[in-house]
Amino acid sequence: MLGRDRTRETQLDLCVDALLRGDDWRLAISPAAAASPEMNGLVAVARWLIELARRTPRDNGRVRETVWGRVAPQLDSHPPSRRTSAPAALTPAGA
Amino acid sequence: MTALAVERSPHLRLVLEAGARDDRWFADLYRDTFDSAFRFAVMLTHDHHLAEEVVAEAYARAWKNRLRFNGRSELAWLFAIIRNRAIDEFRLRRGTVDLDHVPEKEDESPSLLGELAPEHVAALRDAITHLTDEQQQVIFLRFYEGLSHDAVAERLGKNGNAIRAIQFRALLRLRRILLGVSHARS
Repeated sequence: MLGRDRTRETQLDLCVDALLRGDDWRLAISPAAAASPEMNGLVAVARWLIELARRTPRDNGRVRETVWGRVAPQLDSHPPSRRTSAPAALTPAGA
Repeated sequence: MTALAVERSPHLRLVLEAGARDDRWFADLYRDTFDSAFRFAVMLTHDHHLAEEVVAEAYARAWKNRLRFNGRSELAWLFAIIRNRAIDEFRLRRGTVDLDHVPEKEDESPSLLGELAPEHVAALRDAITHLTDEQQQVIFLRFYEGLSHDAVAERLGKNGNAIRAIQFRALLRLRRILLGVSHARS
């Protein structure tokens, strides 16, 4: 049972990977698995989630700055030390 | 104090880690997590203004409770705080929140879910709020952030198999909830 569950979980994961890449999910798993009603049903939900996520905009920096302005005064070293100056905290990760 | 002593004493390690949670640690946490934290809050609240409120209070709470963090996954810890804060907001606005009494249906018609129409968006958003804490975290990182299951596992301090299992159960639950809603409407 555990093995079967693990297989279905892996198959679904491969389908989600394909959907996120914009590929045909049916090509990511075996034809038999792609034909299963369960997999079709779960992939339908996955497609909705991807579409919903796409419609959810990211912060353009305004909220990051506003929230930091509210949180920073609560830090022990308020006004924040040079190490925790706004530019450091307000630079998005990876920027 | 030697590295060996720290290695042999989990308690000592926690004390040292807790001591390192200064304002610099917090600024780094904020820098590294804000974008995800805010979008996670939007996913839960469906409201940008409310999400801003929730995330501001969550970071304030994270700072206040930083010594209670167990050191496994900062992001999972922060997400849990955001979720609790969002639930508090819903309680204030709706009176009560009952996460257990959600209509669910066994899968009878796999083709029931077609394209995501405007009327489906609210149902899907609402269904997401009925997932467990860890299911919401995985759904967010996987679908909203587009991370691989390995990357999600790393962010949440879990292994890849656990992430795949959580993802499977989350999608199954969402489908059952959505079918339940659909049946209730028809």
